[in-house]
Parts: sequence; C-alpha cells; structure tokens
Amino acid sequence: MSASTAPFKVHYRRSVGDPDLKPRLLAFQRSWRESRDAQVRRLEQRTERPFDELRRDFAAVKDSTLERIDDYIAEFRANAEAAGATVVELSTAEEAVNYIASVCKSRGIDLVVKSKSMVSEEIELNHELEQRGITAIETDLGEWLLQLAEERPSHLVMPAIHQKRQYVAEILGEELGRKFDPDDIPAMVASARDGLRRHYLSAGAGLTGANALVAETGSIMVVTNEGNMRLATSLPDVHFVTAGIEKLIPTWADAERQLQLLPRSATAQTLSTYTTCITGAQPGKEMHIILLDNGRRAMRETDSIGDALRCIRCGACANVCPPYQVVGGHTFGHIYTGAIGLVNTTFHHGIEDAAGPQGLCVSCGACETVCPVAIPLPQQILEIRHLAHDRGHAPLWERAVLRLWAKPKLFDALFGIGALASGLARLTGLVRSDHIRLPLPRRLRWRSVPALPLRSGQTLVKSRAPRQPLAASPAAERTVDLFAQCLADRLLPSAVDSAAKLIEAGGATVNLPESQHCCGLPAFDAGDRQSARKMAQQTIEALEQGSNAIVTPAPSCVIAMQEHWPQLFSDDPAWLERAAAVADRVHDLAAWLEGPGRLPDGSLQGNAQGSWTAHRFCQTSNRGDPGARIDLLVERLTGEPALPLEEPEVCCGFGGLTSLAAPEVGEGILERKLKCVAESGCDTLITNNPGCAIHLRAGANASGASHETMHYADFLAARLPRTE
Amino acid sequence: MLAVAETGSVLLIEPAPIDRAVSLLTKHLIVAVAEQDIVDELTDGFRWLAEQPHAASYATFVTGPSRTADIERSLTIGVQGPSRLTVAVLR
Repeated sequence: MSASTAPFKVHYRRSVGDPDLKPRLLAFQRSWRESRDAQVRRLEQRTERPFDELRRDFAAVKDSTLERIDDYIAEFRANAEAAGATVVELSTAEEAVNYIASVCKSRGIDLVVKSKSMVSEEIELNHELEQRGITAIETDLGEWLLQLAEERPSHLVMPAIHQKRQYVAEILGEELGRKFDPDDIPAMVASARDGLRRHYLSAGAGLTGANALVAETGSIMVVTNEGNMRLATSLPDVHFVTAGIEKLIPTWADAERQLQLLPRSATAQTLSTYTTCITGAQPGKEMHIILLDNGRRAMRETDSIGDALRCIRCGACANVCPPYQVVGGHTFGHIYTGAIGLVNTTFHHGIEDAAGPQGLCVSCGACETVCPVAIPLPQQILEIRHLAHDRGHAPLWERAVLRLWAKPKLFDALFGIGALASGLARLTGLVRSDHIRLPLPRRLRWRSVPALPLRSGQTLVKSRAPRQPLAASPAAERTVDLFAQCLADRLLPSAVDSAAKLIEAGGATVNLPESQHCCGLPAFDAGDRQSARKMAQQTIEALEQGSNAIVTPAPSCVIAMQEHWPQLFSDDPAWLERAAAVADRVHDLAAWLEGPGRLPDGSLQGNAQGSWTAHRFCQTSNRGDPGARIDLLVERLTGEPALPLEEPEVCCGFGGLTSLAAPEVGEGILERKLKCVAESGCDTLITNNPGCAIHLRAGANASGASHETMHYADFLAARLPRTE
Repeated sequence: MLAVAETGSVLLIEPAPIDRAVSLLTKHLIVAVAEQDIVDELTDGFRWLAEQPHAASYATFVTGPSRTADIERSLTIGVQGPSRLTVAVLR
C-alpha cells in the first residue's frame, strides 16, 4: 500500500506521531490569520463594504450560476469553441482520464507537464496516466516535491506544508543527484527551477486547472505565483484544462469579484503574481477544456450541501481549523483537505473516504467565519456525519455511550454510582483538586478525571432559600425555568446553582422543571439523529409547560434547540411546532443577564480577588450570538478588567465527543489554549460553556497549571453581595 | 500595455508563445508603460480586457516577480519566472 492510499487510521497515527507537524502548522495558522485579517481590513476600507457583504455578493453569483449551470456551460462552450478550443463535458474521473490519455496517444505524446490542478488530484491523474504509459510531471514546486515523495497534497494552496526542509533537501538531492544544505532554501529553489526547465521543452502537452471559467468569452482564468503555469501553457503544443463545472462564472466583472476574495483568502496577497486569462487555442496549437462533473450535480441536488459548490479552493477553512493544526491535511480530509474536504469527499470519492476524519471536527465554526463564499461548512459536516453514522461508520463505543445518554434514568443511576465511587476516592485520598488520580493510559493522561460531586446542580438549587434581588430589577415578578444542562448538573453543579442565584439577583423566581435531561446535542453532533430526537423529545416534554422564559448556563444547548431541533423534526410538523415553542423561550444565561434579567453595572463588586481572563465559547463567538462576549459582561458587572488572552475564541479542544474519539486532537488543541492562558498570567480562567469549563479544568489539573478554572456564573456569584 | 495602480500590476498581452519567451525565461524583466495607460483599479483592467476578445487570447496581470513559499513557507523570489520586475513609466 502506498502512503497516499493509506486508510484514515494509518494517517491519524502517523500525523499525531510527528512532533514537528503541530508547531509548524500553528506558526502557519497564526501568521496567515494576521496577514489575511490585515488584507480583509484594507479591502473593506477600499470598497467601503464589510467582508460579509462582499462574500455574500459573490456567493450569490456562484449560486445563480449553479442554478442555471447548463446554460452557462453552453455559453462557455460556444465562445471557447469559436476561439478554437475543444470543450468536453465528462461525468466521471475515469472518463476524464481516458479522454486525456486518448488525446495523448493519438498525438504520440508520452510526457505531460502539469501546473497545479486540484481536479487532476481528484481524478488521480498522474497515477492513472502512468498506468497507460504516459508520464505526468508536476511543475508547481510544492506539487513536484509531493510527486517525488509519492504523497498527496496536505493543503489546497500550500500542498507540501507538511514537509520539513530536511526532508525536502533529501528528496530533491536524490532527484537531482546533488547534496543540499537544508537551510539554504534559495539554493534548493534555484535547482528545482533548473531541474524543471528541461521538462517543459520535451513535453508534448501541458495541463492546468482553472480558478474560473468565464462564460461570456469562453476564457479560463488561472492564478499562480511561480510562473510555471505560463511555461506549461506556452511551450507544449497541446493544452489540457481540467476544471469542475462549478468553476463557471458569467462575466469578467464576476472574475474581478472572485479576485477580490481569492488571493486574500488563500495566501493573504492582494493579488497573486500571475493572473492569466486564456481564450481559445493559440495558432497551430490545441486546447482541450475538460468540464468534470464527478458528483457535482449530485451535490447540487443534495439538501444543505449544494452551497459547497461555491468553493473557490482557497484553503482558508483549514487555516483556522484547530484540529487541522494538530493533524494536518493528510488526516483532516482526503484528497480535498480542511473543512471543505470533509464535505465534498463524500461526492467525489465516496462516504468511505469521507467518514474517517468526520469525528475530528470540533464544530467550532471558525471555518465559516473566514470562508470567502460563506459556505455553511459546520452544518454541512454535521449532515455528512449523519450520513456516515447511518451507513455504520460510527464506532461501537460511541453508539453505546449515546444510547445510554438517551436513557435519563440509567444515566442518573450511573452518575449516582460514579458520585459514590468519587466519594470513596475522596476518603482514601485519591482526589486532588476535585480530580481523581487514576492510572490512565499514556494517550489519555493529559486530562484528569473529575471526581463526581454527590449533589447535583438541581439539588443545590432546591436545598437553599432563594436570594434577595438586587435593587431596581427589571425581571421582578417573573418566573424563569432553569435548564441545568446534563453535563453541568452532574459535573459542574455549582455553575447551575450560581446561574440560579444570578437570575434571582435580577428579581426573578427560579423554577426547575421536572425530568429535564439532555437537549440531544451530543447525539446530534455525532450524527446519531435517532438518539438525538429521543433526547430532544424528552427535553421538549419537560420544558413545554407554561410560558416562562427558559434560561440555561449552557450556550451549546441554546444552539441545539434553536438550530438543530428544526432539522431533527423537519419531517414531523407536530413535533416541529412543539420544538419551536420551547426554543423561542430559551435564553443563554449571559444574554439573559444583559437583557431581560439585566443586572446593574458594577453590581457585583463583592469580596473575591485575583486577576482573570475569559475563554469565549467558540461556537457562539464564531456565530456572533448574543451573550458570547462574557468578558464584556463580567467587566460591566464587576468593574474588574479582563487580562488580555490571545486567541480567546479558538476552540479549547473539548469538541463534544472529539476529545474522546481522538484524544490526541483534544490534547493538541488544549495545549494551544493552555499556553495562551499561561501567557495571560491570570489567576482565574472563566468560560461560558460547561463542557469547556470541565475540560479546561481537567486539563489544567493534569498539566499542573497554577490558574483556577470556572464557569463565569460561579465567578459572578462569588461577587454577589452577602445577604445573610 | 496597461498597468493597474490599485495592485501595482502590469497587463501583458502575449498572444504568440514567442512573445512570452521574454517575460517567461528572463531573470530580470523590464516593462515599459505609458503613464496614460495606468488605470486606477483592477476592475478597469478587466473591463478593458472584456472589450478586446482577441487581445485577451493570452493576457496576464503580472504583479511582482515570480515567487514561491512551498518549502516551509519560506518566501523565495524568482522560482520559475523572472526574479526581478522593473516597471518603467513613460511620461
């Protein structure tokens, strides 16, 4: 088996075993982020329009083109053929390979020089041509290095980003028959230039991709930095273009819109070095434009997935992806890498190749914020996970955990046993800072196991008298239904009690609806919609009595109720209505404390001391949801300024089941987060989602970090005036 | 010949491969542009291009020298095309 076809698990083990990969990708992500953000700011200033508007404008162009794709293909074909090109529309990878091979055979061509083309990777052209006796040579430096190493691209734009300079020196040295100093990159590049030049002269054909196919003139537009594409299209007599049908755009004005977004999002350049526009075959030469479907029309017809066809292959989704930073593109993706690869692989290569990395996505939503065509990637990945789960690709342990989770009584009983066992561990001195010292296997040692408290959050609330409201409370006379959240109730009970105290401080009375359990998010996230429905139905039944506002300390559950429930019940109008009635009443605690249950500025200036900083829950931050800025809320209420924290909205690595299914990914992302926290120098780290708080606390415990970790409700409740 | 102020690009129109030899194979490329042929924005460049289907048979906006960052993201100038680009503006 060659490295490039190794199954997911082999890639996973290999990437987490590479000590250099994580730091290199982290440095890349951070420098890209800085330069790309600066580029986007300049674009916004120059155009006097927000990025979101610019990207939605171009997304609308792509959408309307895709809706009438056959018309645009016809227009493109007519114009390109009038200019002397041959245009062929092909359905499958095999047809595309056969077409190219047959043109080569009939012209006696046995060498093809290639400029970078992801479609050629998609159809595994090099390998297939070799089987047919034709040699294809990559001329983009990164792609050539991959070819020499028999590897696949690990990034859409920086294909060889996983290769170390030492390794490059070795493979280049072998190919060119000389020794390279790995630190002399200019020398390696210069030799590669000379090594590649001779191929252009002897090749019978050049092959390129296309960043856009412009219908109004039948032209292709290609964006490159090296100049190899111009060589590959100038010297050989035959020019092949391999492009997916989704690359069609109507006009040159649209091409310019695409260029506002593409280089800035890809390489953080205003414009790449070469933007080449070719219309038709040059005199005495041939141009064959292959328009490939290979699953694209099926994608267009698939609910919630069609938008992925807007993709302009900039790679930005990988550049902000926390799990990608840990494992790289050979693991996070298939041939297409990053978030888009988790989606489109299903259609170009099949669910078998797409299923493996699905569990690595932490659903943080960062990819959607930078996507220059606003593809709802996080939602699409959940759809593909659902498909993978239905096709039996979910691990057995995961199925078992979710089945159990869906049974509240059994779940309660198991947590009860766990609490008793934790109590015993406390008595025998095995508990330190609320975590049990267990002999964990090495790959799980980065996160301690929390000792379960004996009393749940709901019990804590019920076992004390209500608090007196603070003066001038807007929420006086109201009753609030508190949704504790299953995880917080059992693992972070103080946060539930603190949430109740803060609601009471705003003047409202707290009611705890009976039999509340889980909104279904863990199952939905894992693609198990059957269990998710069951859990959602239990929660709806528990919460649908009355018309009180429902408040929860868990923003993830708010997203689940408002966004996932409509998907769960889309084919069941009765439940859809009941779900919507509950979801409409739900508030995240922080949004409540800023809104209907607003507490006055500076009203929480109690006795607590020490500096603090805030990790802001990635999902709500990336969506810009109300209540996401807990740092501003806490500053307003306490008057204590937050310490600056780098990357405050980058995921902490919990990611629901991800940190269980792929512990090395959870560990790697947590390490990135804890380093930023340590650099902040805070005494206390606060955060807003209970899962993140539990995970961050257990990770800090295992690493021996000196800061305390808590839910912001606990931080705020500790600053309530004493009322006794 | 056309140049774009917004991006610092020059638009090379090179329908015949032999025209391209100069801009492809030399190490130092010097492009002369008349001052009145400098347009403000890339949009203007594309508008001009869209109006000349024949000139557009092979057109390239060149923005700086050839470059790569494919080895450890280390920016290296002059990989396959010219390593220097000089634009001479003629008044």
